[in-house]
Amino acid sequence: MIDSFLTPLFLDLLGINILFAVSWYIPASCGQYSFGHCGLIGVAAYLSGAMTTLMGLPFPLAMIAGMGISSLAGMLFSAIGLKSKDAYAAIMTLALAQIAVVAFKAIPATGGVMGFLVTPMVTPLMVWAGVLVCLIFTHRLENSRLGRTFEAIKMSNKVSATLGLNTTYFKVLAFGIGGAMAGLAGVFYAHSISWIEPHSFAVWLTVTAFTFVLVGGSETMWGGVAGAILLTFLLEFVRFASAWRPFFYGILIIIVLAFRPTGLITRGNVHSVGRFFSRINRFMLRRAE
Amino acid sequence: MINQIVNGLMLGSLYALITLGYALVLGILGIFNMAHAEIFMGGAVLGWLMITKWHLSLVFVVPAVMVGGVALGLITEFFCVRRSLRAGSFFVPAATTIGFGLILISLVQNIAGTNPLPISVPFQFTQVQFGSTSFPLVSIIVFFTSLIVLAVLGYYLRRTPLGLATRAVGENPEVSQLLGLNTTRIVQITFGISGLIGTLSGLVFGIMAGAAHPHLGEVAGLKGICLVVIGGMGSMTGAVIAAFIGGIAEVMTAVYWEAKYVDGVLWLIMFAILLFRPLGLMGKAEELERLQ
Repeated sequence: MIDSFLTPLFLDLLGINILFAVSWYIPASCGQYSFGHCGLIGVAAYLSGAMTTLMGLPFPLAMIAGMGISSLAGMLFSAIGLKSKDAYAAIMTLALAQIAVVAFKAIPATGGVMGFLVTPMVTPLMVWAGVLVCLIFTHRLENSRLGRTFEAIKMSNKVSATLGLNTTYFKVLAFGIGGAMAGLAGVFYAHSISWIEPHSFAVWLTVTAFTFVLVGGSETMWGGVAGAILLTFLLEFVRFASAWRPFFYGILIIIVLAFRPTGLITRGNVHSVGRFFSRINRFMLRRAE
Repeated sequence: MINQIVNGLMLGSLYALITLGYALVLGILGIFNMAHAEIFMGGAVLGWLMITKWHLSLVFVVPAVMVGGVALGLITEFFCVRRSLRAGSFFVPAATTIGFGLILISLVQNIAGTNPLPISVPFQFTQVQFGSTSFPLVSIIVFFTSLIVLAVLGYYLRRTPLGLATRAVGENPEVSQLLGLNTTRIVQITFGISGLIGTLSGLVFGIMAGAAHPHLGEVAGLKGICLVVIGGMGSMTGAVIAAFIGGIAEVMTAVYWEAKYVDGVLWLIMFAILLFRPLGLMGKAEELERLQ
């Protein structure tokens, strides 16, 4: 039963979902919620796909370009929204997603509405290497000065501004980092699924990202990771009911936010795991002496 | 050219109807109701169900769809908004209403299928002659419906006690609660009215386009949120002006540029407006302050 799951494609998808969830989590850790991650992942997927398949450029170059364009798009749209209000940044990312889908449909070189066949060139090993790098990066980020700044802004915009933080700068930066990670997910998606069409980057894709984070827990990075793994496996089990997938997601979002707004894994859980490991560590050290 | 502007105004009046439903909840109360797009879609699908499937007369269909809209609005408020307002972030009600929207889309897709659902009414293609140009009768009805809804809403919000209470709750929920207003009930009533406008505009859209579709909300319904932002938060008149500008812009794009760009135009306009006028066309700074 398990063997039939662990195909290379499923492993790719699992890694991509984790990346996608973490990329949504980074702006959220700064109090910025993105409705346009479907646009960010789509832009990167299309650009990198066009670079490798149509222009024949090497994959690493396409990967960097994809991450760059998603990051820039995220920063541009959020910066314009943030001129008014935090909530406007969310609406601007929604605008990005809508404009991106129209553009994908209109560009004839990448197949328009019909879809675009990308040469597959990603192995599960590459995806998981990318996931590992991103997780280490995000973990370091969370425990750094920048991560604590993000948290302060999330807790109170006004207090952080009073303490002399340029909040807009940090919010845009959070969108930029999250955008680059979403771009990486998009590059992997295009070169692993190898078939991209405008419809697959509809608003619904964003909902999957924030469902992962909300279900897993929005306090630490590990929540998004756990949510992505849990829901990807769960949905693979109920693949026969794929038409009811949005229904299931909708119920899940409402129930989680109503009864456990922190999600499954809270900061306390993560800390107790950390304490457990440090206790083992101390015990081993004492034994060694 | 004149003809295109008139066509744009007709489309704009439809957008005005969609936008008013949004503006009531987002502009006045400051709550993001993302399910409004799907309530709009629900109105069109209810119209298909009653007109095409059950062959009911429009005299029954219009009130029934309005009642359905009130019910959908109340369900949204009860399951998605009531608890989540306490969280203090705009995102929590937005996420739960997106969840409710997904439930609605999924139900329609699984029960009615993903194909377009045809709606036909007797006067669908009737044209009315005005001098040298002729307009579709449906568009004229939509134009006047949206003006009537705007007038009624304007009167309701400025002159009736309940409307004034609604604005007070939008301004400051805590203080209005201290002054003895039942804020929960007022939010509930506002969602009911917004749902009514939502399904009515959906039905009208379905009749104008001749078909309902499960993905109607994603394309047409979400434009309402964009138009509220263009018009300025909290301003009903601004929302309607934005809707007319948007309608004309879309028709102009389809005629003088290319039809495939139509769905992106409004979002580009919003991009430009926020770049140069962050408050929207008729927004005031203090209206923006209320938003979390």
